[in-house]
Amino acid sequence: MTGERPEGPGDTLIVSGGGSTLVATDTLLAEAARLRLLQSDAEDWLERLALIQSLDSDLSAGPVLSVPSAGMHVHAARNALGRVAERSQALADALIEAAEGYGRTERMRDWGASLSGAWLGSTLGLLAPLLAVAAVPGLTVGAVGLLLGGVLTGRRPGDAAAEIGAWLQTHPRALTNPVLVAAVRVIVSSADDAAAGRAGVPFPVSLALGDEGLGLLGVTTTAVGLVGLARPLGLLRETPVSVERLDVPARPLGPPHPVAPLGPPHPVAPTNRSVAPPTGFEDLAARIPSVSENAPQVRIERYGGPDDASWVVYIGGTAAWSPVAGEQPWDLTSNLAAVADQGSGSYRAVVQAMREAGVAPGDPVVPVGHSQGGLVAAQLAASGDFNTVAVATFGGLTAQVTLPADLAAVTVEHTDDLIPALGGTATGEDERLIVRREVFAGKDVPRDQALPAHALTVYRDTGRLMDGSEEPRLQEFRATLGEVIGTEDGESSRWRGIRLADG
Amino acid sequence: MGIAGGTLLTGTIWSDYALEARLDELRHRRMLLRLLRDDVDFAAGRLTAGDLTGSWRSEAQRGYDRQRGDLAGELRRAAGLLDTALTEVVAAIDQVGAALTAALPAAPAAASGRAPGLAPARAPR
Repeated sequence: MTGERPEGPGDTLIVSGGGSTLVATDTLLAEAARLRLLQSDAEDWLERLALIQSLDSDLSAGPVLSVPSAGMHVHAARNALGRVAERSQALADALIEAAEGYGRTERMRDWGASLSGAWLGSTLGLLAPLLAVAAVPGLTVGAVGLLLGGVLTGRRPGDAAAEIGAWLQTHPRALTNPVLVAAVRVIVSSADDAAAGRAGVPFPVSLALGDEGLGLLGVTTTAVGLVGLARPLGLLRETPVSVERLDVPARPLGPPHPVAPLGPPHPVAPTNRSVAPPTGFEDLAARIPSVSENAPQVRIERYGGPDDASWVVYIGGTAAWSPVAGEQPWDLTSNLAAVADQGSGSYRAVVQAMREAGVAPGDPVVPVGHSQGGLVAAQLAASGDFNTVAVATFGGLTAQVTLPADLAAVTVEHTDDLIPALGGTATGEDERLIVRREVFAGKDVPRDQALPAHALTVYRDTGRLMDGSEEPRLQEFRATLGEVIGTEDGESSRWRGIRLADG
Repeated sequence: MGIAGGTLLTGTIWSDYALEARLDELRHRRMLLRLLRDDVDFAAGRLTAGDLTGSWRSEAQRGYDRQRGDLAGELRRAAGLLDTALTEVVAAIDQVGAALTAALPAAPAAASGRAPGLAPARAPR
C-alpha cells in the first residue's frame, strides 16, 4: 500500500469526481474503502459467530464442563469483533466526512474564484475604452523610456523577449506554479465575460449565460471568436486532412500537402507489430506517441479475435505551434478548433486512422491521449461515433467536454501544469474520475524545459503512482481495461495525420 | 455454552447416538471456527500491511494511524480468542471421541482398528 509508495509531497495523488462529491488523497480514499470492507466483514463475522454459538446443543443433553469453555472465548471474541465493527465504521465515517469537507471547501473556493473572475472580466470589458485612454500616458512614458534606455544602453526593443526568456529560465517556478495555473483557468473562463462586458451585456446576464449559468457562453465561444478573428488574417485556418500508416521513419512534414490521398509512404506494405496489452496507467501513458514534428501522432492497438476485436487508440500532443497551418495537423490551429468544437484537423485525422485500421462502429474502443491528444480522446468519447467504453487523458484541455455518464473515464492533471488550465473550468456534470498531482511540490523545477510539469514522461510517472494506488476506482478502471482488451497479445500500428492544401 | 474442554463428569449416561451427534456438532464448530479465525487473522494482517507514518504527516493523520493500530490490535485479540476457542473445541472432540470409544462394543472397534470419531485431534493450524 502506501508503504511502497515513494515519499514526498510531489507523489501525493488527489482524487475527486467519479460520481462522488469526495475530494481526498488516494491514500485516504483507499483507507476509507478498506475500513468499510472491514466493517462489512466484521458484521458478517458476528453473524457467523452467532451461528457457531447456536450450534452449542442443549446442555442437558451433553456433558457438563468443569473448566472455562470455548463458549466463553467465543463470547469474548464476539464482543471484540463487535467493537471492531463499531470502530471501523466510526473511522470510515470520519475519513469520508473529511473528504466531503475538503470537497465542499474546494467547490466553494472554485465557485468564488469563478464568480470573481467573471465579474472582473465583465467590468474590465465594460471599462476597456476608458482603461485604454487612461493607459495612453503611461504607455507613452514607458515607450519613451524604453527608446531612451535603448539609446543609452545600446539595447534593442527585440531584446525584451530574450530577457523575459532568460528571466523565466532563472525563475522556473514562475510558470510551474499551482497558483498561476488556477489563475489562468479563471482568466480563460472569464474571457467570454470580458467580451460580453465590452459588448455592453450587463454582468448578471453574462453570468447567467456563461460557464457559471446556462453554459451558452464560455471557453468554447471565446475560442470560436478567436478563430473567427484570426481566419481572415490567414491564421488558424483548418484544412482537409489525410492519414498515412507509418512503421518506418518518414519524410519530414512541410507546408500543406497538395494531393490526397497520399498512399503508403513506402512500397512494402507495413506489417502489424505484436504487442502485449497495457496493464495500467503507466503503460497507457508510455504508449502515447511523443511530440515530434515528423513522427506518427497516433498509435492504434488491436486486441481479440476476428469477431471480438477491441482497440486502444493513443493520441499524441501538439507538435507545431505556428498559427499558420502547415502539413502538421497536431498544431495550434487544431488546438483552437478543438476547443471551439469545430472539428479539428487532428480529430478528423484520428477518426480516419481508426477507420483505416479497421475499427468497426460496435468495437469497444479505449482512446488515450496527452495534451491536445487528451482533448481529442475526450471528444471521441463524447461524440458517440465509436463504441467508446473507457477513456484516459493526461494533461488534456478536457474541462469543457462532457463525457457520457456510463463511461469509465479518468482525467489526469498536474496542478502545476499550465496547459490543462487553458481549457478553463469544467462546465458539464459528468462522472469522470479526476486525479491531480503537484509534480514539483517540494522539488526543484528543471530549468531546461519551459513547462516540465506538462511533459509526457512526468505524466507516465503519475501513471505509475496511480497503478500503485489502492484507491478502489483507480483499481476498477484498470480492471475495466483488462476486461475490454483481455490478456492475449495484440497488434500495433502507427499513423501520421497530414494536412492537405485547401481546395 | 456447553461442551468444549475440561473433563467429563463421571456417571453421565449417554447413548451412542447422542455422542455421535455431539461429535458431528463439534466438528462442524471446529470447521466454522477455523475458517473464521483465518479470516480475522487475514484481516488483521491486511490492516497492518500499510505503514502510513511515512506519507501522513499531520497530527490528525498520526492520530488516525494510532486508532487504526488499536483497531488492528482488537482484531488480533479477537483472532487470539478464536484460536483459544478452537483449541478447546479440538480438546472436546478428543474427549467425546474417547467417551464414544468407551461406550462402543469392543468388536466393531477392533474390526475397524479405529472407532468412529476417533481421529486424533489436530493442531488448530
